[in-house]
Amino acid sequence: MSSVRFSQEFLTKLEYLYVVSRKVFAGKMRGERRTKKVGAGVEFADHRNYTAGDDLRYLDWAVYGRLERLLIRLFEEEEDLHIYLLVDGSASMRQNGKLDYAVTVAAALAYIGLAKLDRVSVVPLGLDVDGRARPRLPPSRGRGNIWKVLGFLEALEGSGPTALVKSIEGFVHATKRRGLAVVLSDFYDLDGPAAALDLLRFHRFEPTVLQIWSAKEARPDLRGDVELVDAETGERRDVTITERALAAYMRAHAALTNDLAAYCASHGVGYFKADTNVPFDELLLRMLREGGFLS
Amino acid sequence: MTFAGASVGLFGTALAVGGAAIVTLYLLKLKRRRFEVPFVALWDRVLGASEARSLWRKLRRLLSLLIQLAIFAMVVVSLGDPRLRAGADGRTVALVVDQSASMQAEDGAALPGEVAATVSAKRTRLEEAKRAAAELVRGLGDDDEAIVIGLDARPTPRTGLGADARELLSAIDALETVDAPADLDGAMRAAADALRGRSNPTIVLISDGGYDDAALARAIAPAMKGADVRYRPVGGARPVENAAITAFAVRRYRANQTAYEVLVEARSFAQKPIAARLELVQEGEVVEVERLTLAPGQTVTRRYPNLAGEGTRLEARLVADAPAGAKAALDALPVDDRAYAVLPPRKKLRVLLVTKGNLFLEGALLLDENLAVDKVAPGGYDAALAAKHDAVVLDGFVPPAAPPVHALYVDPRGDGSPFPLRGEIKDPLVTELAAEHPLARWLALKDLNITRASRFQLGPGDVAVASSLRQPIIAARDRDGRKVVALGFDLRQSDLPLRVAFPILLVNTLEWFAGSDGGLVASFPTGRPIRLMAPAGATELAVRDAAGVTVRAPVIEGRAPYLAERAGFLDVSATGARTGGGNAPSLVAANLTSPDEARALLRPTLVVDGKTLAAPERGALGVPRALWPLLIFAALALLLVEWWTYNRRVTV
Repeated sequence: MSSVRFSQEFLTKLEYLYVVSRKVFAGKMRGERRTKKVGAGVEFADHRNYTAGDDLRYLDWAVYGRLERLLIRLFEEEEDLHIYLLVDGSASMRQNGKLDYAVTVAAALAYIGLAKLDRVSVVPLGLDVDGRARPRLPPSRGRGNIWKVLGFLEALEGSGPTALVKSIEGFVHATKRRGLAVVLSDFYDLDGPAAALDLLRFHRFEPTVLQIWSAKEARPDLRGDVELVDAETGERRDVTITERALAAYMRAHAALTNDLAAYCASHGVGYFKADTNVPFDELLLRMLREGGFLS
Repeated sequence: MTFAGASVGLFGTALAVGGAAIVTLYLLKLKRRRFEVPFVALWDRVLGASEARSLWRKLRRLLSLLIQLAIFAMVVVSLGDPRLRAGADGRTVALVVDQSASMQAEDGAALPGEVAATVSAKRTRLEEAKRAAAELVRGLGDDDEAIVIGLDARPTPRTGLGADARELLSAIDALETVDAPADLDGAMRAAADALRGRSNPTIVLISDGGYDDAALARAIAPAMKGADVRYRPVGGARPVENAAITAFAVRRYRANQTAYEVLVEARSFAQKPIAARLELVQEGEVVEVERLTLAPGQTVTRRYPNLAGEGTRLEARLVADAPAGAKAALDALPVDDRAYAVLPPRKKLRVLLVTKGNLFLEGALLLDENLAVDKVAPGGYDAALAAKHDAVVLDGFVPPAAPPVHALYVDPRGDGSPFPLRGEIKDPLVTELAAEHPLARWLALKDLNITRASRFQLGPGDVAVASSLRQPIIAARDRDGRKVVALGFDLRQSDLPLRVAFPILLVNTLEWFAGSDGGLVASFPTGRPIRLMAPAGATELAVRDAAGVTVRAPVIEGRAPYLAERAGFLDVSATGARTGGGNAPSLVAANLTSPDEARALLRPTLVVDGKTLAAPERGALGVPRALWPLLIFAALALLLVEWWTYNRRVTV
């Protein structure tokens, strides 16, 4: 693969992360997901009383012989986990390497998910030039599909507005299978993130937030008379940035981040601040260890 | 407040133009650096969307504009060198510093720290005067103004009237002595003129006081009517003993102009006898030496006759002996120990005599050893032949065209006469003689008998040398470098050839043609205006003195005005002179021959009209008048404020 984003070194790291993730889940994650449906499967789960109409093939004759009770054996039904990687592809993500970082993290998550036979789908957030939602990558399963995922991610370009609510609204209505929704975005939206995440929660998705965060944007090196141009809308502002104004901006930026984190904490949404200065593999390991959002 | 630097109009214009430029730049839209940000709404929340365009924002920048305009105005106004007007107590001081020859006397006070008794510490009076003037400048009060006037042969202000000590000190430092007497009268008049109408006018004369009482009274008394005249004497740090050459004259013999004689006059101004060696030097070689012993106040005159030599530079030197036991001679004023004279090369004057035969004329011309006479009959005359000579004598003959050289007409007739004829006079008597004309030197024509004479009509510039009842019969003209003399009568019809006046008239005429004033070659005195003779056609003379200073002087009526301030030989070169334009000297000599200067008189006090001139005083302290340092300081302070407010984003 001649990708700029996904080099051979990157792929090697994916393998390493996959091995690490298996170790992590083997020791820690097993008991954390007890809400699995019980049904057809090979792994015993539990007993229940026999009722008329039950399939006699699942009657536990050994228990009947000892206890003279008709119990039906229940097996864990093997159900695919759907992982939706919602990657912000707006123009603001193009700055300071945020999109590259987000795509890299998404690729790694996708690789781990595919390797665990989860169904991974990539959904670009944002609108195209016509104001329509961008095409998504349908769910894929198995490590063999990693190239398809990587190819899709690589084609992502930062352009257009974020439109978090509108994008996620389109996503939840077009997606029947619920699952894990990992939102990778800079969340530059004054009131959008909460509404967008609420949409996911209300439609019974399990959202996890990865805020792509750049120190350069949190503490910009701007002074004096400047013209600010919005990367998404092209709006211009003639401003004079003083030390005081800069400090106010930094506080506002921090408040934006803190509000998002507070929302996630208060609503049980996994939240990770992905500093673009932190290597992505370090971030993923922290996510795997602390978040446990992969099964 | 006054402006001593750029004019009010100039810096007013600069202020208007610069101010307009600053305001224009202020009104122009600020060119901002452009930055792309991911989320401009966040900046809007912090700064407000229209902050940069708000009126308040612009008003804040107005402070920056005002500061910049103030800085610019201060800098421009400081270029005008604004000064507060002098207070009513301020003096206006004219420092008149003597630069005359006597100020070269080496009896000035030693500099502070020098040992006065040592020879190496000898200081001239001028050095002491300059130091005294500098001290006075440094002692000027804050409300005082001063002007420096050099007291030499041509007194001139060396500075403008002002309070700039640096300019005054620089002018004082540039003062040099001259080898000439000073024009005290002119200097005092210049000082009085400069101070007229000024507050508390004060004239400070810094001098050795080497002027006679009459000159002092004549120069200082009028100045005392309008100004407070103070006197600062210089010199007298050691006794002055001086001997000088007070006269040096050279002349050629009239009969034999290849020889010459020299007159030297030496005089002692010392209180003790001075033994000296008098040397006569020609072109650097000593040709005469004589030992002299000059008693106090004695004048010795020596004449050296029958000297011969081709050299033109003559110099007389008086070399005083050192007294017994002393290392150096007593003579304190070296400048008057030398005198210079130029002996112009003498060549025979080539004369063309055009005559049918006139024994009187031929005899008189042939007797003069300084003439080379060619004779030709009127039929053999042509202009080309005349051009090969220095002068033409036309006896009863008038050529169709005026000769290209100087010409003496004897009894010219007809239309070709150089002076138009207005009839004849029978038995004229010479009643008027232009005694000041070179032709009339030693000439007596009172009882001359003439049968008849033509009356000449004179034009502008023509001179009637001899007239009969105001009717010119002998006329002279000097025009365009050519000289013409006409006798209105035939020599044979008069008894002039039988008189002594005849050869004298001929010699005078030919010497006038030659440009010589009778064979006397006098050196010029320094400090007095002279008129240097210029060759024909010259428009300007360049005179380079012994110090290498070249002065250019325009030629007016064949002469150029010049005033020598340094003794020595003067090289003269002419601009625009015609070839063969005459015998104008290319070398002249100038001598200090003033006994007053040689006397090196010293007056510790000056008394004029019975009043003793007081010593100058220091000025009073006051408010500094020069405002530009304050303005520049204020501009720098404002610049700092502007820098601080800009960087703190107060004014942006």
